[in-house]
Amino acid sequence: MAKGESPLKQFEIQPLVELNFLGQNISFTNSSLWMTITTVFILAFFTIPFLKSKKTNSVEDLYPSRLQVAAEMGFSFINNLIADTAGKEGKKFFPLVFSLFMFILFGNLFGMIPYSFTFTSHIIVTFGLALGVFIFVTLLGFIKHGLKFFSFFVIPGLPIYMLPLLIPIEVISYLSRPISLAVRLFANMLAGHTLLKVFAGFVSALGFFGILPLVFIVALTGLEILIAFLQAYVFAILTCLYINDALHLH
Amino acid sequence: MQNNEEEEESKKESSLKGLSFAYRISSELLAAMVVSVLIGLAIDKYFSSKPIGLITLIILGFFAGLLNVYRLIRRIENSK
Repeated sequence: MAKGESPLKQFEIQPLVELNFLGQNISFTNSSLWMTITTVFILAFFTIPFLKSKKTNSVEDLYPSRLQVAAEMGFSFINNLIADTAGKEGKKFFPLVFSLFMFILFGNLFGMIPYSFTFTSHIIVTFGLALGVFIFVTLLGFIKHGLKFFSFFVIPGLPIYMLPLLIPIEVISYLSRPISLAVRLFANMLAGHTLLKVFAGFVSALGFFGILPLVFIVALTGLEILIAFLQAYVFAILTCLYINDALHLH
Repeated sequence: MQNNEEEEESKKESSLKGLSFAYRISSELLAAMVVSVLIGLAIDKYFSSKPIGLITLIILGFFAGLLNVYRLIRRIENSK
């Protein structure tokens, strides 16, 4: 990091290709670039290992390649997650949960590459994802249960005079879901990356003793990679739980 | 020696779990407050009832946040 540069400069959006559509700014930015890279990488990661077709009829054909094992591990990880949280009925929504998980996971991990851009550190991106999940889950509830979905806001076995107080609380609690999903991912990524840059600033400022913050940065980078995985996991598991709530009211 | 290392490892893991737990709880509380303040401001704007809607919704939002945290903790306790 150059001297005098803000630790928040890494989150700046820079338009790479200026585009205008009906007076709206739809420029291709560094954020869009890294989203594209992430998507292309995920597509490659899950197609290339399964493309190979050696027709040598040798025993080695039976062994999956390392990449194939990695891709299958990702698949079965999410498969088990859905089976554990949303049950059998939730299996239908595997593509949604899986693509969300992979997009966030690789977005976070690519953000750890120096000079790259972490698109999950922008609240509008995470909020967009969370709002998508929220709208999907709400529609799912209405399609599955019709107007009975509103009984979701009523706790069974409650005296009637408590309802006027508790229904607004339940509705607020329901509406707060996308915000808590979005804020959690965004805050984790923002805080981690800012902390890394702040300590990187200490390295050059302290001269010889800069080795101490340098050691700390190495440890912090490991922690950040763990958090990158953890946050993608939390996002996926909460999506599963919300789907489960919509499928089985109470 | 081996035992010691293992202990340290589990300690590290539990502190990491605590950190992610704290993030989750704080985001739940914050989210409920944000939603209720926004609804409160909207109510005040449309019914021009300046402080009443906001105050009521802040109180409700606080309880909604506590309810979220309570559910989160109960879920974690159940999964143990």
